Amino acid sequence: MVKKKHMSNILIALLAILVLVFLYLPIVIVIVYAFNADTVNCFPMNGFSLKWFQVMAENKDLILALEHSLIIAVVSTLIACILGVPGAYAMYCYNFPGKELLNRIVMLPLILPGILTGIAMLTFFKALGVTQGMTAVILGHSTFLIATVLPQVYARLRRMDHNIIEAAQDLGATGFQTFVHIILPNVKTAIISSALLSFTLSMDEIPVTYFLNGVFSTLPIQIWGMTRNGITPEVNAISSIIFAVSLVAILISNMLNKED
Amino acid sequence: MEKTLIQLEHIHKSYGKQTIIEDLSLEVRDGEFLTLLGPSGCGKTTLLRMINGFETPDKGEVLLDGVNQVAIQPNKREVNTVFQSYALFPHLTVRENIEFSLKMKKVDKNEIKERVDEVLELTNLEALASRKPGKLSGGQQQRVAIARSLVNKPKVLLLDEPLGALDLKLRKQMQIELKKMQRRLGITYVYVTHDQEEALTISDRIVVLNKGNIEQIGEPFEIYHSPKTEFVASFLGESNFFEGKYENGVFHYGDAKIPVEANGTKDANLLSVRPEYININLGKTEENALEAMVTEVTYLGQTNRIELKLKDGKKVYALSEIEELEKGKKVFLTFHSKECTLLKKQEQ
Ligand SMILES: Nc1ncnc2c1ncn2[C@@H]1O[C@H](COP(=O)(O)OP(=O)(O)OP(=O)(O)O)[C@@H](O)[C@H]1O
Ligand SMILES: [Mg+2]
Repeated sequence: MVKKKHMSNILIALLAILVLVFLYLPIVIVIVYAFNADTVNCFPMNGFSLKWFQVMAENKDLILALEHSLIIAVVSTLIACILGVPGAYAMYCYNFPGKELLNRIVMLPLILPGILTGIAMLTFFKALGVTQGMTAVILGHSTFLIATVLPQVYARLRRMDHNIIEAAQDLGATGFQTFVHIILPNVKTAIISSALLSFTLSMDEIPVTYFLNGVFSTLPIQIWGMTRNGITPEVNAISSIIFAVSLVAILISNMLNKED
Repeated sequence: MEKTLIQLEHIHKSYGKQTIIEDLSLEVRDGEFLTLLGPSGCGKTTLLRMINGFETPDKGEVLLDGVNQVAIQPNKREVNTVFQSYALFPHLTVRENIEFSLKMKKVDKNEIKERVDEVLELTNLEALASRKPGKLSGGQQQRVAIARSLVNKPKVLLLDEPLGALDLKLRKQMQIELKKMQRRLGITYVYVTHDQEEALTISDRIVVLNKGNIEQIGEPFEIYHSPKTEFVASFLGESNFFEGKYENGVFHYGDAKIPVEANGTKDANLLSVRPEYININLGKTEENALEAMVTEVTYLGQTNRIELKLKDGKKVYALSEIEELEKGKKVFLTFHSKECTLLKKQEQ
């Protein structure tokens, strides 16, 4: 009996490892090749080297694209938080018909195919007179990043004890004081976690950006362009860095979400 | 003699089509411990929420110290509330929870420290000052909730079933503590409970509420011994009710004539007698005694609770120490004529 159980445990473990390998082997290969001393991606490698990271750092276009991406990610994450957090609070405080529906609709940009969102925004921004470029991309990203911030913060608010808001007012706090001293600290982790997620989402967003960027490039678009003539080791290098940063961000985001 | 601190005048309140409170008026005296007592859903919380400002009456006035409160926001009213769920701020320590209101009002730092220390001592919380609420027991959280309000020196402290979540022993202990604290500070307490025993122990005056109406206001002794309505008599303690007619010092119940020293309304059609005021006699000592049969004897410690059945089948409860009482025994009942209360039957 014991042995049988042991066997099935091993089988399950093996299966799990296989799935993980299938999911992550490509990424591992990219990371390994990033340290390859050779110019072509092939095994066995001819030694360990950091030269592709240097090549990457010297690629002016790539670094410029990285700068663009960072600016876009930081600014649109900020906008998403500045609009999304009070938005979630307003939704929490006031009851109005169709509130739950709105909560779903806000999520739409995350669910809809990026192409659709991209076309929609391009048309809309054109109508508004916003030309393609950095501003358009930031506006576009902010819109769909609100979709990650607002529902997460709203969900956290709903798990909070509603009575503490009345308690704060009863103790003399104004609406603004209540928001700053009671609401914000209690949803702090939800805000940080959704901001981190927003940041990574913005950093590797292609479809919406592609419609709105006009002439300038962002990191994922630049990389995509570079791979058209085959994958070069410097792409492996930049990909490894993106992977590491995203991993850390998502791990922190998960940890914060679990906290309560 | 005493000053009136809170006046509720002709309050009306409904939620949608459901009328919760209809034309209720009430005065709370300065420094008293007033309890709102009533069954679940009778509007106790609603009433408190009109005093602390989280609900607005549809009609009527709420006055505090003579000042109309209706247009004043909750955070500007000089009353504080101890919520049923305590509603402590989970991200703040006990000390920070207590400091909160003073900080919001931008009170001077030294004064904050002084006042918080004072309240911590009063509520015996000094040792717990740096803990978060999540790491406190129910009784301790309760004390923090009270301390957090008291530090404000409110004119009135509203308490909404503050002991509801505690076990019986702690409840009894906290009742005494609450009462002592209130006496010492002289702050007016408006206390909500649906526990009649608690109300009788703790209050200076009790307001008995039923379906948003005041059934009776009075001191605990008065409420218990001279209930004005059938509802009050049955809600506070236990009572036996006899339907009949009152005439010249005699209450006619069927063929029986029960002598009553008039107490209550003259056109009474209901007689209320508490179990402790029914005498059980083994022999027919009085002409008017009611014949009954013992159907159940429950040992209560100091006394026995006797369930009896009258000849017409009506059940009656009495208390007695007589040892010979056992199931099936025939006995005769007489009532303390001074302790019988005459009432009018209420529509239910
Ligand atoms: N916000 C609200 N909307 C609609 N109905 C409400 C609302 N608040 C209270 N009620 C209703 O008003 C009535 C009185 O409620 P209230 O909370 O005042 O009762 P209570 O006496 O405090 O009862 P309990 O002892 O159970 O706390 C109840 O029937 C309740 O359903
Ligand atoms: Mg209530």
